[in-house]
Amino acid sequence: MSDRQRTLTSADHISTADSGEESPDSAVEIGAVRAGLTRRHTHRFGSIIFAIIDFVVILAPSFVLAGTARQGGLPDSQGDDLMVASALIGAVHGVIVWTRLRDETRHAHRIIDVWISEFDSLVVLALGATMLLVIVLGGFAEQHAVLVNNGWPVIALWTGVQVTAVALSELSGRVVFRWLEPSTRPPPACVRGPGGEPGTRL
Amino acid sequence: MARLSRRQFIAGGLGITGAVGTGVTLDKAWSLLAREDLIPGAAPLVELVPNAWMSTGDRLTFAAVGDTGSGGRQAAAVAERMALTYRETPFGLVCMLGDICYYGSVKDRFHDVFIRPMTPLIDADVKFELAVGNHDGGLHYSDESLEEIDAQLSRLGTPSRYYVSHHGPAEFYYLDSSEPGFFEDGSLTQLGWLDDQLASSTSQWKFVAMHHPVYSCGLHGSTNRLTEFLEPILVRHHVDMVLAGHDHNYERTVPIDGVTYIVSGGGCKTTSVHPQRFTDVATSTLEFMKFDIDGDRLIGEAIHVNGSVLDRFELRAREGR
Repeated sequence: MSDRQRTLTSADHISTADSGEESPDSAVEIGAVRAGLTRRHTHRFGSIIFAIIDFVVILAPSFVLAGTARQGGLPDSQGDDLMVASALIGAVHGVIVWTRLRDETRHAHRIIDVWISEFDSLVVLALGATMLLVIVLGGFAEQHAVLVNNGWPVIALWTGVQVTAVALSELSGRVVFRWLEPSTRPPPACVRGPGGEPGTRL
Repeated sequence: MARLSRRQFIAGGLGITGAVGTGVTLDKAWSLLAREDLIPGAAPLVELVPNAWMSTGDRLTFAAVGDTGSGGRQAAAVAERMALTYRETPFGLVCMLGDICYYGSVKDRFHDVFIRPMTPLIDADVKFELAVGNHDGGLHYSDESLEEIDAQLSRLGTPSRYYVSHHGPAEFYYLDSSEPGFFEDGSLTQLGWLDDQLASSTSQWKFVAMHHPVYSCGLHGSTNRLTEFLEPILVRHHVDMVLAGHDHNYERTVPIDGVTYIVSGGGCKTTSVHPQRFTDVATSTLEFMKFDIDGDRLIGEAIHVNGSVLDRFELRAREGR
């Protein structure tokens, strides 16, 4: 009988337990089921929510700039290129976040470590995605103007700054998780053993 | 609830502290992004016929714009609109109403903040005349800021911080309205010069251009030292119109003792307006001004960055001129 079948059997046993028929092993089994459900919920909903928040945080600066241009009387299309670039970066990063959280929730000893590291990562992203832009655009106007004067599209500068912010965010999230869960190791890679079937776990 | 481990406490605490700090920082950062024109703008791709304007003894067409110095997309959009307007109604002069360089030194940014956006007009041999602004040299006139101002003036061929120029039927008096420049170490040299120049002028039209507005309903508002010391001179010598920037909006006042005050500071950024009793028209938008003089008649238009006319007004030359 597989782990999943044992879990389902335990879940069935819960209703029996509610009717008063408890056994010494049922409490442990109930706890195991609930832990499994908690991790599944965390992966399913928490990952999606954080991925969406990441997307919004990355998109926000371009949204603000587009609004400023519209307020000044420029056509709605002004700033569309920045919004599209930010949306693409945000979408890709959202997938990365979802994947990372899925892996972390599977292997973390404590779920709260996943939440803490992702929260820290989000803070770094929020700060980086906006402040880096302000610093690079406002504080190094002479330097990046050289790029524009030489024909580089502004979108390259914008994308570079936002990708840097994303990279810093990812790095901080992974470093914090590794610090909180030093004993957690990723699953061994599936390799073909000598004479074994593909996918055999060593 | 399980107790947090030391590492969890530290990581969580740092995250919360960072979140609070980030919230405060982001509020300021987003205000900055919403206020400034930080995305570099490309040169407008508009080809113009050089020297296409007409300037005779009694006809003149000129433009005016202030606070253009970002080098950004919004500044480029205004400059493009100016170039497209030149195509329809060529003008040979642009009065720059100060603040032609933000976010750095004009020595390093002159190409970005002036040459690049104004390339079509520069190639058409349009003349640019500058009234020094507070961002052009700072408010305290250190040696460094004076050097900065001189660098700007020389790049634009401006003779000095205050001067007069003659174009057709009009005389333009450019002033340095910054706090130290206006009073020049406590003296009223600049005002004395203006008083003498206006007294001896025989020109049909007299315009005064400076950076700080005498009257304004914008964010900075009216400039008290100018209403106290400058306005009597303007009224006494029947100046027709005063052009200013500094507040990033467009405003035209009702005639005040015969003088019409214009604020045209929407060269790259916008700030809010709060119409006052002296305001005839005011709007917060990117714009520039175009003026057509034909004899004793002046038509002024505030042109929106999308090409529409925000405001159109007419002035008549003072009697006897």
